[in-house]
Amino acid sequence: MDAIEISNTGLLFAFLLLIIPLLIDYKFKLKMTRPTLWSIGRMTIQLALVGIFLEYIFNLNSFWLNFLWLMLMVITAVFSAVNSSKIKFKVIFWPVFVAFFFPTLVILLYFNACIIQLDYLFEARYLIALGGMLLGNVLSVSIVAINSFYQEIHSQNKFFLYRLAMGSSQPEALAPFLRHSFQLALLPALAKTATIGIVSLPGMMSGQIIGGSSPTTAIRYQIAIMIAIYVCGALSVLLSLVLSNKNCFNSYGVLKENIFKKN
Amino acid sequence: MKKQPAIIKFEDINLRFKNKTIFHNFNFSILKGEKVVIFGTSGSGKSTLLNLLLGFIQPQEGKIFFNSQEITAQNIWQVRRQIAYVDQDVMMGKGEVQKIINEYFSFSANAKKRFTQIEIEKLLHDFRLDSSLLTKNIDQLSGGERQRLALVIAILLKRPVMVLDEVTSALDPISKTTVISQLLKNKQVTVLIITHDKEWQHQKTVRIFDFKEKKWTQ
Repeated sequence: MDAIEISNTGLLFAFLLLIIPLLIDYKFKLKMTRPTLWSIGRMTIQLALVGIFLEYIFNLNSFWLNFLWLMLMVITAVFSAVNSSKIKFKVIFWPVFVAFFFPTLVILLYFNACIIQLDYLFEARYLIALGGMLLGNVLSVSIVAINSFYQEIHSQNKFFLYRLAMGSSQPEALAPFLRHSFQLALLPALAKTATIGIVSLPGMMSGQIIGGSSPTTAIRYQIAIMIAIYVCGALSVLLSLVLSNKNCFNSYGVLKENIFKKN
Repeated sequence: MKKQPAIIKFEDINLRFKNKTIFHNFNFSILKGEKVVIFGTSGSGKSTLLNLLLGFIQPQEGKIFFNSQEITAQNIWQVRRQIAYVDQDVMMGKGEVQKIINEYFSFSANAKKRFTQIEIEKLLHDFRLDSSLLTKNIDQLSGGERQRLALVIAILLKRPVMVLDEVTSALDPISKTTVISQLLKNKQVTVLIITHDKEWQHQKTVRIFDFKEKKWTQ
């Protein structure tokens, strides 16, 4: 059983729904018409282009093209993360790139090889769809971790220097800050994970069920992907923090003053 | 008489922040076991001296020596392990006092430093602190209590040098006298105190350095 196609008329009905928020906006003068139209419009155009492109990629299913597409996804995520971080571009670009690329690739290959047990590890459908989910999470957790880590060391500099003066090594001095950023970055997602199935049915699972998979198949995928997302996020947080250390502290172990963006 | 080498020595230090000159060809040295008080108004950059010694900032020109060795990015980690540092409004972390102390003694540099329960309780008593504070959350301590606790930890570390930045400013007069005599007691330990607290000037065993004039006055 395959999913029923959405016809053009059907899609038009989807857009028709937007009348509701636009009416609310008009009535209460929320000044949200422009952002609403802009976001929905942008999303529609992006997805339309991606749709065309993905059809093409899926049909060709070539190693290099799939790999390149994954790289493009990684680079977009890295730019988005670096732009919304509070640290200067040149200080964290490479650390974040490595921290996004390697965990995503390794977890994806592991997923395809050991969990789904694909014959062709770079199968476009899996590589790109799963890669997108992993990267989306990596992006959000890493920004939280990097920002909180360096901002807390900056705002609690006295505490940090006291630790150095107490004779700590660099890792010992950083330990409480590392712990706290990990918690800030990963605990919200973990809490959400714990309620999945009861409070929310995740997008991938709903999608698979609509697409014709049995709920048991969808659930197995969902369990596996939740674990993969968590592990990939944790790995990426660790790498982002550890790799950016070298650029952010001087050789005396003190946080550099000039790593933050000027507002 | 053979000249004793300095344990801490600043040589021709130049340091400017933006347009403000903190040090201009500054020279300063302390011998082992000396008790030195650096006296000066607040905001004059006295703390900068300790920040230089601990490698938190670097001078634009000049050298700093510890035990006759020039301080570098490589040996600063060893130097810090020889110095017990307590700051004006010390931030030791969060949580239960005993756990905080344990964490500092779990650093690989301090792992061999053991202290007995009797020792810490005696020190707490000497600094007019109740040993029940060990089980309290550090947030429940007053500024003065936190400062004295930091001093107790600094003494427990048994390091050869103590550097103290305005550690008596938050103390009541009785605690102040007690703390001063406790800190000057040990003849082996070199103590460098930064203060604008007049109490220190009345001590006979200390050398006094006027930071504003950059010269020794006692």
